[in-house]
Amino acid sequence: MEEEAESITKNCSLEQQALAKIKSGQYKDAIGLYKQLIKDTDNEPLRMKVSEAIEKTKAFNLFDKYNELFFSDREKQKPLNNEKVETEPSFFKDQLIEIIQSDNDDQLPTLLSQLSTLYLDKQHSRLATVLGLLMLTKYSGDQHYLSQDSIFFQHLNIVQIALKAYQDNNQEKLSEALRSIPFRSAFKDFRVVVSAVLVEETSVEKRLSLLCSIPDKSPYFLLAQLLLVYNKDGAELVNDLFSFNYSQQILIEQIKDFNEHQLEFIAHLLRQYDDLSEKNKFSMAIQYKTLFGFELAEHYCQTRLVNYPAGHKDYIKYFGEINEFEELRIKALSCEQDDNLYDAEYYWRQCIDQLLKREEEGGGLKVALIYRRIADQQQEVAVLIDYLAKSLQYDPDDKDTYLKVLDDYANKEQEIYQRWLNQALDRFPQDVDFLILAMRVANNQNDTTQVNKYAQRLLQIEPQNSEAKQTLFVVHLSQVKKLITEKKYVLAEQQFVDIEELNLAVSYMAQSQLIRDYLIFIQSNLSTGQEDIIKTLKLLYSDPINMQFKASMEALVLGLLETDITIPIDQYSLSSEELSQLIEQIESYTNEGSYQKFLHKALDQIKPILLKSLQQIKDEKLWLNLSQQINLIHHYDLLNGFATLALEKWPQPIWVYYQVQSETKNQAEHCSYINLRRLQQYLELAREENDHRSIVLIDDFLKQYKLAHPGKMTRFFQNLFTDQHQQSSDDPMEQLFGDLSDEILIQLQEPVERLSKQTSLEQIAQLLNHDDNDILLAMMQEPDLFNALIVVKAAEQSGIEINIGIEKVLEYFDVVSNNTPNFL
Amino acid sequence: MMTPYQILDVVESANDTDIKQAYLGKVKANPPDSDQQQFRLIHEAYSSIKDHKSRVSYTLFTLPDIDFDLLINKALHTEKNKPITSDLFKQLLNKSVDKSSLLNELGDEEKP
Repeated sequence: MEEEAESITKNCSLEQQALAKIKSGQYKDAIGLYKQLIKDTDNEPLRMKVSEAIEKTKAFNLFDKYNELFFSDREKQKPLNNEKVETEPSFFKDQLIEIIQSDNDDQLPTLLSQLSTLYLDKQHSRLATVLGLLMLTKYSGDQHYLSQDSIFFQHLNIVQIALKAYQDNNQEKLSEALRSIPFRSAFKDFRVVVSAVLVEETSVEKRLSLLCSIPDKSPYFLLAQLLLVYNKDGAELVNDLFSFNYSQQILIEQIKDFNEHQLEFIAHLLRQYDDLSEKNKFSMAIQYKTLFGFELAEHYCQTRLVNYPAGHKDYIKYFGEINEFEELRIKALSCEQDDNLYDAEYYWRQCIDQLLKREEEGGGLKVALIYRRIADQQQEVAVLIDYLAKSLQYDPDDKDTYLKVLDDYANKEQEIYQRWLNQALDRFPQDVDFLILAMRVANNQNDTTQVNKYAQRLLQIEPQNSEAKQTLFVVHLSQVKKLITEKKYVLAEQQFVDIEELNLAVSYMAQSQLIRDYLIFIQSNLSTGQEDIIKTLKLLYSDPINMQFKASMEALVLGLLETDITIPIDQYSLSSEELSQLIEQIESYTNEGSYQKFLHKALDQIKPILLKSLQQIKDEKLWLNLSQQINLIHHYDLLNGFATLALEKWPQPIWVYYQVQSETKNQAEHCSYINLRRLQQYLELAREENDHRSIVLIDDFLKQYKLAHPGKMTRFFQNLFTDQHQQSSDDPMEQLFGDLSDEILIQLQEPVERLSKQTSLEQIAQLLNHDDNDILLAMMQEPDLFNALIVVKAAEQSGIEINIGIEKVLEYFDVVSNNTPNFL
Repeated sequence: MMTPYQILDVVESANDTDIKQAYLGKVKANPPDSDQQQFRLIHEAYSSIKDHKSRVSYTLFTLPDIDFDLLINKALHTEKNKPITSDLFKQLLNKSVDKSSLLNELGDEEKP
């Protein structure tokens, strides 16, 4: 506390001494005392007093020295928040504003001489920057009024040196001068602008980047903008000219060296720039057509006629006859651009009329192209094909159009397809694409003569055409098999020669060799050659199941028995890859057609081992592929086996479908109510799981059932397991079992399903011990009788009390029972 | 927007061979693995003008891209700007002194 008091007393004494020094004009000493005071106490009133002393000291040009003495670097940059200092600059600034506003330079010398170094260099850099620009331009002769020891003055000198060097084209001196202008100078933006100007012509981007870096608050911003616009051209230049005043615009135009006509155009454009309507632009295009180039102006006006139809008269006056075709073409394209295809087609048709009328060279191609354009926009295939046909009248050699029709549009209409194909072949008889299409069509129609013809023609053009070779191979092999069954062995041998000439891959040749082995086997009355067949089969397949299937199929096709060639297949389990091969084999024979019976026999040969193998295959997709093929050839026994096994692994709708499908042998009308119910349930599941294949298949099956049993479908179980209020009052099942509780109904569901699956109508009739066919007939006429009897029997077998007997059921359906059923 | 002719850098009267040569040159300079978008642009340009029929089709079905700016560009096109001499710079410097912007500049200073 004592120390603090002592310090205050000391400082008060120092301050008094400093004040005394100021009063006596000894500012230097006063500053020394204040310096000591600030060291001890840095407060605001003290700073004000220091400022006052400095202001007075500056008259003696002592500022710089004392500034150095007094303030650290940080302090030098910190403006003094002194009321007196603030008042004076405001006065200077106001004076400068007044001078600029009044354009009265008389006051300038006074102002410049009054501006202190502190003020110029430290206090108001923006004013210094403005003043800097004025000293370089308007007041360039007045710089001697400035405080000579100010940094501002030094920098102004450097700038003037730079400008002189620029004038003398002394690049080195100019660069050096620019480098001497520091970042914190009133002329820093001047330095950037001059640097931009000095950038190489090739580095336009760098120049633009430097000019764009001048802030919009800078007094040099306008100079930067003028230089930027100077670098622009055409429409960009005109757009930017607007931001400048008239004298600046004139200067730019002069520098750009525009001629009188161009200047007139710019002036016109600037006058009307706010109202550049279609009309104004159209008129200007005509007025300045020599400037734009006659052709461009004409083209522009022609284009604008779509939006400015009033210009027709002027157009004809200045450019002559309107090119009607061009006008229609632009209208059509404009309509297309607006998605107005209806009007577009109208204008395109007009274009075609024009072209046909003009009969100019190349007009036909344009007509054809327009027809194709119209065709592309048609929804109806027939109309589209019609337009394409028309296009070929004018450009008959357009192969793409034929291919487009054949590939995309006519492939579902056999007659149209054949007609187009014939036309294409007439026009392009040696074209590989069309010959391949023709060969495929002939192959699909089993027309071996035509297949041969097209394939041979293809091979003449492209000797290595693989599709032609493979197709010919299939044709020859099929011929061979036919000849063998007809016992025309010599002719068959000739076919083998033809096959060999195809020079196909080993796998093809092995297939051919297999049939040749069979031929030897047959010719030897099945006594020799079996080993050769097996040897060749080993070339084709690595597993005995595929080999056996192939051996059986080829034997059957060639009129032998499937058992004539046997391969030990016990204990073998197919891999996924081998199963895929088998599926391919089945698919291939299925596609050849008329082999269904043989396929059944060949599959029966491998059925036990196939079912056994299948259990090791975990890929459901393979199961499904196989089942799909088996379903296609209607081998329901095998399909049922697959489906039953599959359901143990995957209780999915598709397998339920295949099971029901195989049980009913694709006869939906024979579907039991239990299966019907299962299908309905699984259809719902398929829908929940978005299993589209199952949805389609089950739905189709149920539709077939519905057609076979109109009005009766699913009534039994629908009624049995649905809400009471939804049931029909005259439904026999409802009337007989409607009083059963839900609990009993649920208990009944499983035994009813099981029994319904296991029991036929005949079995029921036998169980009832009926000698005549009355009850059987009654059940056939009334499926609900069968259903009701099943329910009663299921309840009896399961020990579920329902209080309804056979007699009551028979009585309800008005069937006379001769005997008491033996199961009751 | 550049026309296929501009993309391939060929004149509109160029024949099939010239266009193909230009296309191959452009593809060599812009392989698909370096700039796929540019390659696609070049390829599309070539496809649209590669033969007589495609050129007729391009001309027939292309809406003229002529706006007024195109005319202005044509009218006021300058081949090369004059170098900015010190005299030119001084002229620009003097013209850039705008009373209102200077007053604004000084006036703004009063704002915090």
